[in-house]
Amino acid sequence: MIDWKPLGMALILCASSWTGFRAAAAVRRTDRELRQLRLDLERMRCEISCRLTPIGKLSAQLAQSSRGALTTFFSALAGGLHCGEAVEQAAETAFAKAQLSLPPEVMESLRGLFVGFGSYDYAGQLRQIELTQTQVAAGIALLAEQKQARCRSYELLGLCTGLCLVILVA
Amino acid sequence: MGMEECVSQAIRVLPERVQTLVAAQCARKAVRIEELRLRTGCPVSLFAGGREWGLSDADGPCVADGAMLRQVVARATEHSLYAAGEQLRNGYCTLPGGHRLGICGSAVMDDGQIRTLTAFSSLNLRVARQLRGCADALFRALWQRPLSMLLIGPPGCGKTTMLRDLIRQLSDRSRFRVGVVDERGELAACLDGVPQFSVGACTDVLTSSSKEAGIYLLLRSMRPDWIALDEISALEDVEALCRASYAGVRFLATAHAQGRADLDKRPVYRALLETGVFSLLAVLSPDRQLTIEGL
Repeated sequence: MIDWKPLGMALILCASSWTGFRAAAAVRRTDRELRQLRLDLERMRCEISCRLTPIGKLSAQLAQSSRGALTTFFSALAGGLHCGEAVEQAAETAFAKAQLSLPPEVMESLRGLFVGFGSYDYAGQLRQIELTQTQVAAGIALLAEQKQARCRSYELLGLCTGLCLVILVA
Repeated sequence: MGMEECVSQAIRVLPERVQTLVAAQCARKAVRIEELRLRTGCPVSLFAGGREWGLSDADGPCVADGAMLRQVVARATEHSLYAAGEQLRNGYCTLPGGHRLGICGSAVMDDGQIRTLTAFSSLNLRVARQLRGCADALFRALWQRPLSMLLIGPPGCGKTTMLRDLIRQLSDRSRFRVGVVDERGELAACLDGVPQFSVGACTDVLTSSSKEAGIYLLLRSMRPDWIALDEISALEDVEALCRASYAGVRFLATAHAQGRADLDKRPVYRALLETGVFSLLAVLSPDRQLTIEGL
């Protein structure tokens, strides 16, 4: 006869720990995306201030140079604009497609940037990007303070929950 | 590029319904479209062969509204007003292919200067075209006497088209090095550095630069035999032409005027004639008759 009990306990422990580690990985992914977004916004600002690159071409360039979910975002944005969609509409579709893991306040700021993108003059457009850059920098600073503690907490919580369940079931 | 291709390229910025109507008009009446006008609250109209008429279909007249005008400007500027800031300040936007969208609306003023245009009220889409051979008479005149030439005529009579063909002929047939200061992007209509119109194998094109800065840049960098510019309109352009003429380069330029008498009335053109830079004056009449005289 096979004793299923130890196997069940091991599974409970693994599942619970996996949930904790997954939550910690999400925090790390948010950090990576924020840092990548900071680079992308800086490139966007430079392209506009030096070459007045239109948003369609800019998105296509960023889709090439960016990483992770932001590549998907800029690629979808460039695709939408190429098909003649308005910037706001193309950005909404791109947000839905990319499933970015950014903090809510940064997402709000990013949405705000794309709502009016291209409808401002040169100075106004740069100001809009700078405002979003400020928000992203604040997001990075806030996450940097909490990242290690949060990741450790999630991992420990998962592990401890699993152990508790094992003890209760045993 | 054929006329049909030119028109279909130009109307890409228009809403789909207008595009369909224009294409139908082209097919049915075989007209050579020169302009399309969109005015808020009025039917979209088409100008060809000296006549303007409104577009309509089974649903009635195709009336333009504010949203339609905003959409057209957004498409024309590639959804990037910041990239077309300087052009918008001057009331136009150049499209791929050298077509020009004239824009009218409310001007936002800043320190006495137009900062941008908003609340668009009318748009005028001018279809650019290339007529090979239209400048044969001018080319022959320059072949006999290769001197700087000023081409004048009223708006819409085809000065730019003729200048473009003259540049091509000087470049291809006489193998002169021609520098083009294409301030508005209408002469060569460069797209990613490639001229959309044929301007000749020995032609160097500088796009989007002011005429003043462009003349000096071409002189320094490309050593041209001729420098061509479209629509001289400011005293700075005249000063730059005058100074550059000492370097031995010859000029081809256009200006808005009905004739010699009209030139003398305007301070900028009077100053231009006084410099003695131009030796030949070509006058293009509204019915496209050309006369060439010495200055």
